[in-house]
Amino acid sequence: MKYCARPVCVAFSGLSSLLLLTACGGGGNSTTTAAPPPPPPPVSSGPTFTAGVFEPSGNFEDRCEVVRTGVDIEGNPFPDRPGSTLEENFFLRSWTNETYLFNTDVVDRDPADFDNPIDYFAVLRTTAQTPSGRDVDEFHFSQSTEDFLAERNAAPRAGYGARFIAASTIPPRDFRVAFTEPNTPASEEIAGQPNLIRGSRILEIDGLDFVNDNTQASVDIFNEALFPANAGVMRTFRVEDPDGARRTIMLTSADVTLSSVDRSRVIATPTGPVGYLHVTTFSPFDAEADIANAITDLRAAGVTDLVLDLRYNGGGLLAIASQLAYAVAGDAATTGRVFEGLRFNAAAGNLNPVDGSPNDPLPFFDTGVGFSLPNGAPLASLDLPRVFILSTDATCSASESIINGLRGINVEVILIGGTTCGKPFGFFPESNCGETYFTIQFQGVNDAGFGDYADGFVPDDSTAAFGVRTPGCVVADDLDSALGDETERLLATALSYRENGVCPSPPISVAPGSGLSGITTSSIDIDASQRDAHPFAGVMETNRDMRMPNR
Amino acid sequence: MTRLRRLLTILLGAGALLSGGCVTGAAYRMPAVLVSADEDAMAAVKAVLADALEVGRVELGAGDPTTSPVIAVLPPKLGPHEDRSTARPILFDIELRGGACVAVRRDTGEAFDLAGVACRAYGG
Repeated sequence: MKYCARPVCVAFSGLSSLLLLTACGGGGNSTTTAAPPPPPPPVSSGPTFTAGVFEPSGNFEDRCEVVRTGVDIEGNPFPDRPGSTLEENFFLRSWTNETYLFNTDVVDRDPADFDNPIDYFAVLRTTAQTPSGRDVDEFHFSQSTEDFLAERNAAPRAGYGARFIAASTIPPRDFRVAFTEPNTPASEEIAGQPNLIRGSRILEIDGLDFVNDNTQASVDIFNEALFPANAGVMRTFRVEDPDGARRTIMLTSADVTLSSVDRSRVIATPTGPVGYLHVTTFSPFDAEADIANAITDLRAAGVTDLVLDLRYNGGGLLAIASQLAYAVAGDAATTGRVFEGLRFNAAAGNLNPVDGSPNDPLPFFDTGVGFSLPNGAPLASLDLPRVFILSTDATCSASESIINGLRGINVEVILIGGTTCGKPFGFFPESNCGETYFTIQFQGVNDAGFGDYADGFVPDDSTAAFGVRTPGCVVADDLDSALGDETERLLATALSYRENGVCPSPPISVAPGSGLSGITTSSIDIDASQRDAHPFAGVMETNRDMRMPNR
Repeated sequence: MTRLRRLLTILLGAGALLSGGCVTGAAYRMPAVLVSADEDAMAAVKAVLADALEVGRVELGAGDPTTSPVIAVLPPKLGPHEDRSTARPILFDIELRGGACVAVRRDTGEAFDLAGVACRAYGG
């Protein structure tokens, strides 16, 4: 998926172009117009291993044990050429040496000792740990390129528009609704009652006991119902709302497009209007326009503070995260400053080692960049000296970039909720011979050059021994009140802190008798196989991966 | 095909340079917009840009190429595990060069002939 610039062959700027054309046509230095080389003869012995000596990865790229033919689902011809498992391993070895952020930590093992590229890839990583004892690299994995392409081309997906939190995927199962997307089957109102609301717990599906039934047939039905493969399939759910009321609802799956802005509102307070903005993802291209429109509305309302709810936001596009950070801080604070620089391995110098382009840092974008806003369209900003950010351990990656980016320009970030996930790293998925590999290639650093938050950002009153301490308050996500409701625990704490400058004491509690306190994303029991496959995947972002284990 | 289009673009530019001795660079290159963004025109534009980027097909981002001299080509959609992506649209500036309509990739300067697509000067 490397989306890199090709070498420039024709720079059409005058007579020099004619010279360049000659060079191209003559088979000079250009690589873009040279006739493709003929396939090499079958390799009989293959490359040989010399510790510490690395040929360019390009020498081994697309040399495959099994050659695919035809085109992929995006219409691109498979680039495979005849090769071997050994060459696939040599590719991984050289590519890791060239692009892996911690390349000097990798033990240089002989590729010939591994008869499977996936097994070899698994050892091409650092074993270093964070101060808290976590592996620095928890994000090293691969998947088939077929699956990779299918997943990224799958939207919209069949579903109901509800995001679930699973406190337990095994009996007694506990699945509750974290929030619902607007204009979806989940949020549709029947006689004034939304089908699902935040905190609704699933009790039965199609008359089967969802909490306790553990027969294989029932588990299959539960999975099919919660993760429908197709639109138009109706299921019966019995749910219990946070107030204890039990209801039976009918939900018909639909093609649901993930939205970025779940809700936005203005909260009147004695000390001025406060904006609340719940942003669930920075991944869909529509997020650019959706966030910009929400900020425009908040600016028009004259908000003097912003509560930015990123508690379920697992990240996505850095450019859109940058736009949101700009919208918070405004021109004066961001002009000429870096939102996020990319720190590659030392051997990369000033280049991005993945594509060879100059390693230019991301600015705070103050205009559209062309996803869903025209390139150059000016963005509104709130020009605030501080922002309240609601967080959990599902607040991850590009969401953490907002925290780090704003801290880097001395905008005060007040963190309300839980410790963030701690992923300052990024990668460019690399496909070779039918497998797509994900390896850490850069660390995001802010304008001050800081990016060491692999143990997350931590509200300052936490008892945690590790993480980057940030002004704010530890509060558990409770699912008791609607998001954006002033009584919802995280938002209420933010508003209290805003009024008083300190965390509320005692902490704001849930309504008596709700019985739903203590459900946090850190307590989610995900199917272990999924955890192994994508250990960092934000549960909220990828709830379709949250499959229940079979018996 | 891509090379042929590039060659045509080069020759158009060279002809203007060599035959019109008084043509200045500024007059020769001018920002342009498409005359029409109908289905046929956009299919032609997308085909050229797909060739330019050496991919099977492209999707365009926001913007009206009949009023704006910029076309944004969207990157591939993110997969569910891409949580910190540097992807951004690739921008092409529409220009008139010696009467020909071309798309100039902003980050590399490469020019691609928008064969069969009608342009007019931006603001003209």
